[in-house]
Amino acid sequence: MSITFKEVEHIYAPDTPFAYHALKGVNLDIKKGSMTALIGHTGSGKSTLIQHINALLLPTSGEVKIEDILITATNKPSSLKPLRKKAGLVFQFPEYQLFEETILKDIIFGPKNFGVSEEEAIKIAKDVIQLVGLDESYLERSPFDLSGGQKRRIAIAGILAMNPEVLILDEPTAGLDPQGAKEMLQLFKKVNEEGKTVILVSHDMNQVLEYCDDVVVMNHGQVERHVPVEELFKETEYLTSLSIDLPIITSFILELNKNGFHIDPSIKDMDVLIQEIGGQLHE
Amino acid sequence: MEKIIDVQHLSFGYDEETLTIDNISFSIQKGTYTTILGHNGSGKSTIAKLLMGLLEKKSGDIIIGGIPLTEETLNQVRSQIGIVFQNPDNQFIGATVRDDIAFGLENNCVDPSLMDDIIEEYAKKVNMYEFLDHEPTKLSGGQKQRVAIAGILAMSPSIIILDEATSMLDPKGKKEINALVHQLNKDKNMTIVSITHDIEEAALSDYVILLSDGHIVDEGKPEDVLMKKEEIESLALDIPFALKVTQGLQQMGVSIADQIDREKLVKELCQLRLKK
Amino acid sequence: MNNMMFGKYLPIDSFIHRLDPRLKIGSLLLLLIAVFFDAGFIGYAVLGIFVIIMTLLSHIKVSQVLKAVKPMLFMMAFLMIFNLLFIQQGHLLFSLGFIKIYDQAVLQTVYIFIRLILIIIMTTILTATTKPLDLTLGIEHLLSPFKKIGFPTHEVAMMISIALRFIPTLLEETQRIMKAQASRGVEFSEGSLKEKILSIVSLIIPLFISAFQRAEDLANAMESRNYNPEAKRTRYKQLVWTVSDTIAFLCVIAICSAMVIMSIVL
Repeated sequence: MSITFKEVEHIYAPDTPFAYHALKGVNLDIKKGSMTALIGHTGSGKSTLIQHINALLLPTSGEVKIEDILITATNKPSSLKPLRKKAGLVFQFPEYQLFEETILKDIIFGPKNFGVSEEEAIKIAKDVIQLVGLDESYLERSPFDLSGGQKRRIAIAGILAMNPEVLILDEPTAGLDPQGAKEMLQLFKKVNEEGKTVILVSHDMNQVLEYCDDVVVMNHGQVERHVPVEELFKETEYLTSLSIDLPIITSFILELNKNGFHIDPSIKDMDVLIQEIGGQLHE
Repeated sequence: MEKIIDVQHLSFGYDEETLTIDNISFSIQKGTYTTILGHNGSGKSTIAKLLMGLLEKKSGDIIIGGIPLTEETLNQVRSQIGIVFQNPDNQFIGATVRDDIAFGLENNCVDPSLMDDIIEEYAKKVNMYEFLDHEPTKLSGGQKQRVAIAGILAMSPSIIILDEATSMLDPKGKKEINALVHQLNKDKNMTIVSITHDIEEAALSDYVILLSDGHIVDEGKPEDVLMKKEEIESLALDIPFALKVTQGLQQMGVSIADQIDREKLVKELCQLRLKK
Repeated sequence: MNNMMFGKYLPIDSFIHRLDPRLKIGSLLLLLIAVFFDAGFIGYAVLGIFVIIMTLLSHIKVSQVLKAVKPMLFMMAFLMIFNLLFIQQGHLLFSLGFIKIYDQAVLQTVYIFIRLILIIIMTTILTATTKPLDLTLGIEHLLSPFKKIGFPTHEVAMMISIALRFIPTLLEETQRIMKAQASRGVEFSEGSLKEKILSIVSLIIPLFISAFQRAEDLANAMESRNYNPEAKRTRYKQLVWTVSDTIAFLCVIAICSAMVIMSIVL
């Protein structure tokens, strides 16, 4: 599903002393089936941008097009409900959206809201719970008895159960330990490989480099870069100006190169890097 | 060296059957930077709450600065320790930065006429002086954590516990807090106990305690503890980046010692390259 | 929600802003009582002029006062219509079917309108010119005599100030959860009664769970910083009673006495 932003402006609380211009002339075209990272610091407009993709926010001016659905300032909210199903948005700390007494009920809540029958929804729930790495025995348990990381998986399962074509994730690994974060990202990669478009908001450049194809950089409400991931990390000066850290592997390569090595800085795989260093030591 | 925290045979459980902390003993030296490392659910945050007397231990002893922690010594013990919790929002008590720093002073019955000077001094120390009259909703997560640290410093403790204090912050906030804490450790000889699952942070500390399922799996200097690849992997933690490189190179037949410090590794690799 | 003026502090500086919160709270109480003395139109004119002067002194704009009145209009209209129809005293002025309106009813309704407007404006002046924390401090001081009979003044004040501190945080949280559930197909503004109940449940339960989590964290943070509700504490903010406070207090007493005297004489 292609996502297009055309000259999108968003102003919060317009015509008041609290007015805030969050998006300024955003043009963006996210490829269908890509896994795109969205980066930029707090307040750069990332979270405003992603809320336009499932029409939680409407543009103040300009237009957003999600496949064949056009979103403009004048849309009626009810006409946008089908969009919420197409674009599944997972907020930061999604474990706080769980509310049903069993995990099954919570997972089927979304699909049922979009008119899926109960039997069909239960079938979907049995699939997605496995997809997020838990088994069917969990379905009858209360979501509130689980650990934080497990709760988050259930919340994500609840969005995946709506079978969205785009999955948008706002800092999905915040607060997870390394193992938990890794499993989470592998899950999104799998979803992406099944043909879904994935948009990942992240502060962790190691994740961006390892898992994403493209990256969008936001700054002061504008899209400043939309390039393949390797391209971005070549622009060290630009990143420093935004105080964005390089991925550990990239900065390590640059350090080595400063000291006489000649290693391609766009390497993202640990084994390739080790081969390369070993090779240059053996020559 | 002087033991500032001494824990002996400490056990604790949230219910009768299971022990979250199972008979652990460790001690922390004055002026050191210690990390307690473990995955989520290993019991590491529980230890922090036990040290503060926020949870009641089942058995064992906790001695802070020579004072055994009991019901009666609670205030004395708490005056020696400050703690920064994970969620920046939920520990901001005052309506403004100024009021929040004042909160601890009020509890310690500091003379109100002295408070302004103390508040301003510590707000400067954490670089929050210009924000003294700001409300918490107008501050970033990193700024709120800095206020929390100022509030603690104002009460002049000798130990600061960081309970995953940077895990909800963006990289900029994380860096600022880490730099501030390291500086306090160096300049003020403040004892730091950092509870984390970030192995790269642990690599920079003086002493590491590895925790899993309420047990201490290993402890020692980071260059000893964090070198044990299998052990770290079995605890669902990440192996330090530098160690991945050295071990990979060893498999290729390069003669290089294990290393957890990236800067040192760069130097070693360059020397190896020149020697060749 | 952002347009709500009633109860919002205006961060500017004015004569009224600088007055002692104890004075402002006490004066409001006295004036609220005075409003209910039937001092006739002359009395209300006097009180009205006093309120206008206070509004001017506090640098609150007329538009802001109107904004404060706006959310109350519905309730006021309801009360006034109720009065107009149910008071059946004096001469019949107008009748249409079962609707009968008497001159006394009109008079009483006008009184109620004036009283409500005065109450809203006076309360708005208090909240617009006094920081929430100072309000709490003022209330705590005014309640302190009741400490002797075991009333937990300090705890109540602490509760109020923490509630005030967390209102913006919880509002933000509410919006976030509403958006998260909207992303799962919940429509908060539409649907049948059953759907509406479910959508409210999907908001309330997460909100409670997160509020409890916050409460637990906050309790830990407070205890860690040596807070003990039973122990003695000092207070950072000290209230200072100045000459202006005394003068203002005398003015309020004068106005209130005038109202009482007028209600007896007239």
